[in-house]
Amino acid sequence: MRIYTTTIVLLLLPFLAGAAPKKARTDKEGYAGTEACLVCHEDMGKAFLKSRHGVVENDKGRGWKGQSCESCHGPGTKHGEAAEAKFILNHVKASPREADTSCLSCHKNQATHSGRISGSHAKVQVACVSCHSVHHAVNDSSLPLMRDFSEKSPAALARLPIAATRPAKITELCTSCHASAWAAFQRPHTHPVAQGAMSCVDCHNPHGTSRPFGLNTTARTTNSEPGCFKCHSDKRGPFAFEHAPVRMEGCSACHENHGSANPRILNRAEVSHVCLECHSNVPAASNRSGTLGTVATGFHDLRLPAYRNCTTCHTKVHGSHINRDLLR
Amino acid sequence: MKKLSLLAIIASCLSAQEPAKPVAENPLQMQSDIGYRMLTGQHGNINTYRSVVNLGEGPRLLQFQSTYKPPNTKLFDEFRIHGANWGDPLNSLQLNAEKTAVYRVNFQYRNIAYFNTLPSFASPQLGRLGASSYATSQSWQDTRNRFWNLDLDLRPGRRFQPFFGVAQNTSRGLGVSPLVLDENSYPAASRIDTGYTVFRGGMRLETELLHLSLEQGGATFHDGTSLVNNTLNFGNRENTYFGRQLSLGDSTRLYDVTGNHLYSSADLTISPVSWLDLSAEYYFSQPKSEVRFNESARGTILWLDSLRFVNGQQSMATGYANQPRTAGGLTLEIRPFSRLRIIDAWQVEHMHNAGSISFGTTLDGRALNPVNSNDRLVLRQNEQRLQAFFDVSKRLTVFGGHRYLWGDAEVRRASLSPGGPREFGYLNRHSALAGFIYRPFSKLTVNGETEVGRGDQTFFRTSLQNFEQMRLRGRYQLSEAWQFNARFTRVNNANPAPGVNLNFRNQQANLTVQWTRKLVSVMADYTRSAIFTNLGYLDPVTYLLEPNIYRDNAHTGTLAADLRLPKKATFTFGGSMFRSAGSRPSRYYQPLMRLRVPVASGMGLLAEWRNVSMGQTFYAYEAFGVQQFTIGLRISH
Repeated sequence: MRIYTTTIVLLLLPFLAGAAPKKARTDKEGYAGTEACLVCHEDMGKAFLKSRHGVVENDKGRGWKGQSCESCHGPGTKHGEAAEAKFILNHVKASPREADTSCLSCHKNQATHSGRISGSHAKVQVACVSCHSVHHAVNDSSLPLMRDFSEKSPAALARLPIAATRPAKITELCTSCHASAWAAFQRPHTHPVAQGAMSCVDCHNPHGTSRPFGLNTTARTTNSEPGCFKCHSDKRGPFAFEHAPVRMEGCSACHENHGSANPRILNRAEVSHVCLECHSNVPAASNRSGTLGTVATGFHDLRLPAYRNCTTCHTKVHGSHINRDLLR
Repeated sequence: MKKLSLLAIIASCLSAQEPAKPVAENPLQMQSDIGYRMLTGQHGNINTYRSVVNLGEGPRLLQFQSTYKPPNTKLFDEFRIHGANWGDPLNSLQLNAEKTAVYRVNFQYRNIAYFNTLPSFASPQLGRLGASSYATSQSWQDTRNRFWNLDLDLRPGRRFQPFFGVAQNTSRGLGVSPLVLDENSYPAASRIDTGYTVFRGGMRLETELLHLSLEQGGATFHDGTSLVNNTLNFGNRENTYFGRQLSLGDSTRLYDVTGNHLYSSADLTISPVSWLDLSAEYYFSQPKSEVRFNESARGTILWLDSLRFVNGQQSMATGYANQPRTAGGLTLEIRPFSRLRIIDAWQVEHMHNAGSISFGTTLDGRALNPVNSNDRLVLRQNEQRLQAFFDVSKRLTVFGGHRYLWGDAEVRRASLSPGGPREFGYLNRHSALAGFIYRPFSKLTVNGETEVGRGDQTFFRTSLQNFEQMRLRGRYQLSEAWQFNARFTRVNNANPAPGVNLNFRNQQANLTVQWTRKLVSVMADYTRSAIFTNLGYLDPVTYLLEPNIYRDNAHTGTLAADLRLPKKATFTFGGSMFRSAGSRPSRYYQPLMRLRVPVASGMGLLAEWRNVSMGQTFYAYEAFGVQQFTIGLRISH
């Protein structure tokens, strides 16, 4: 019994250690207080206090009452005395790790950041302030502190529709780094991202997920139930007769989701070529490399117009409720 | 310390002074852009224009937004409304209301028209001289996809946060879809009517130590799509059968699919000690569907099973499908010392789909024995990833690791395939991961990563097997005015197994330059991309192995310039171009010019010219060109 108790205590120890009450920050040395900050940074400070972050200034529970500026920027006494920038943490100029450590001291264990560890942004050290700005955010509280990229590069506005919609502002910010994704959306057949009807975050979670490419916005989607079904719910099924690649490889098995010169954003120029690459009728010689769905084209004479587009007959390529050959 | 004391004294003096009378901030702020769009110079295929761009003529409410922050109200601290593109087929509305630490409510509505009629996608009669449907698609849609969601978060920012949500996605409209009957397919009018509604609720716990979200949800869905043919329709079959031409007369096909979907999910992040972060997720769902199918067809129909012609066929079917799924993941980030970060991640997903259908047919009033058929799909997929990140110095981080994917799947074998009713696929792939992040000084960042994978079992012929992928990115801020971004990616994939012989390459190189001065700002972006794939297939007529080669070599460029004119007017011009060669040579140009001129306090003029044109060498009949002129007024309050 004692062994069990000891084991349980040992297992719980790290949790208990983490749960220990925080050291009273107000007692720390070197903190000047918000009022002192406002002497020089009045406009910035007042705008901050009105923002969502302003709650830190007056909320006792957060431990920064009267010191909200220093909750992010660190102790400011030395900075105030010397009036030199090097004595205060500037998140934009600091290394990503320093900047993120500051932000994550409050935001780490939040629902929004539950996939952060697996996220590619965290992996390549893209700091929170690369996309968010506490003091110079887009004036829209529904876009939480999103950096206004067009402020830095007004020419980027030309990439937006004449009336900049919220999705367009998000896309503008994402594509300031992911320019090749923007290029893909300049192809004729795409999702309506350039028109401002959708944005990158409709499909990707910039805070990170365990899915490849940061796909899917919540834990409620899986490889076999991709986030695409959020809008394309008619493809969700379940179908009595599933088309296996939809479940096993997702929509990108056949579609170039960012944009394509091919109709229906297919990843090949013609429908039949999309299908024939798997349904090739060429069985693999070795069972170890045996692939699914190889034999299917049967007696179809591909010279006949009727067989030129597989979807002319196999209309239910995403899955059929009725027919095992996906004909209806 | 003296300076700080001085500042504190000044601060106290300032605060002791008689406060200046504050300028009352208007609690209501509004902005709206109203305009009118004209289309001129239209040429080419207007249906393609609608399929690709779909912006029409007429008055538009381009955008409106309003924020109300009442000085005193117990209902909310802030209320926002934002709408865009009203009058266009891509419109949206968003409402947000919030009371700090009490509630946050978000409503979003989106209405996206989906018009798609491209003969090159689905016209088997394409190329037939004299065919009346030369330039029409046999699979097109003119639908409205509406999506709305209402989310309510209670006590945001507090320790316990209950949340509720409801969302709906519907697709309704008309179109044409092939009605397939035994040996022919007939383009028929279709009515699309599908819907999916999900309800969810749960609780979040957020503390400094951990976050836990528990969610329970359920959904209902329906698919009431129907097909109707009222004319004499000879379909896509040119040849006759036993001297008779197949045809279809009055016919209907009705789907009545309903279903429900229950799911549970849990999401946990925990930081028990300073050197460990843990993230775990769990998801279980069990969607089910029930199907009722009804079909009535008249015409000259070949019933292949008994090789006879019938004039009337009626079919009824009932069936169901059930798809339980369990997925989970666990990720650990361990920092044994300050320079080292180790990430270990596991992902597991198990699902299967079981479906069954009972199909009854009556031919010319005579009932056949019902046919029962069922299907099963099983997927088990697992991934384990181990990565270590090491800070060699403040400026350089290197990382390396290993990824292992394994799993198995079971699907129904194609009816003509020998070897039994089921076939099995396996996944077994190891890959090595490596990369670096180099930041020699704050204005230059370079990072690169590569993954080299080798496998001996994969699910599909096109799946990743023996692959190498590489990404290289750089960002350099030369000065306040100049910034450069470059990006290079390459993916090679091969499956050397005899009978597969896949060879796939995808390469992209991108350079972006930004130049920003007080009065002028320019952004230029160029992307060169190349896709090549070679994968053979057996021609079912000649029984020869034919190569299926796909190439796409594209140049994409965007140029945007913004000029600040006197009196706060701005002139913006630029646009984008896309040009590709290969299997489907295409060009797509979108130049634009835009002028914004403030004319009075809170009022400004907007004007835009945009030219959209597309052409494809092999599908010249799908080319189009349109000039869009939009003029508008921005009113701010």
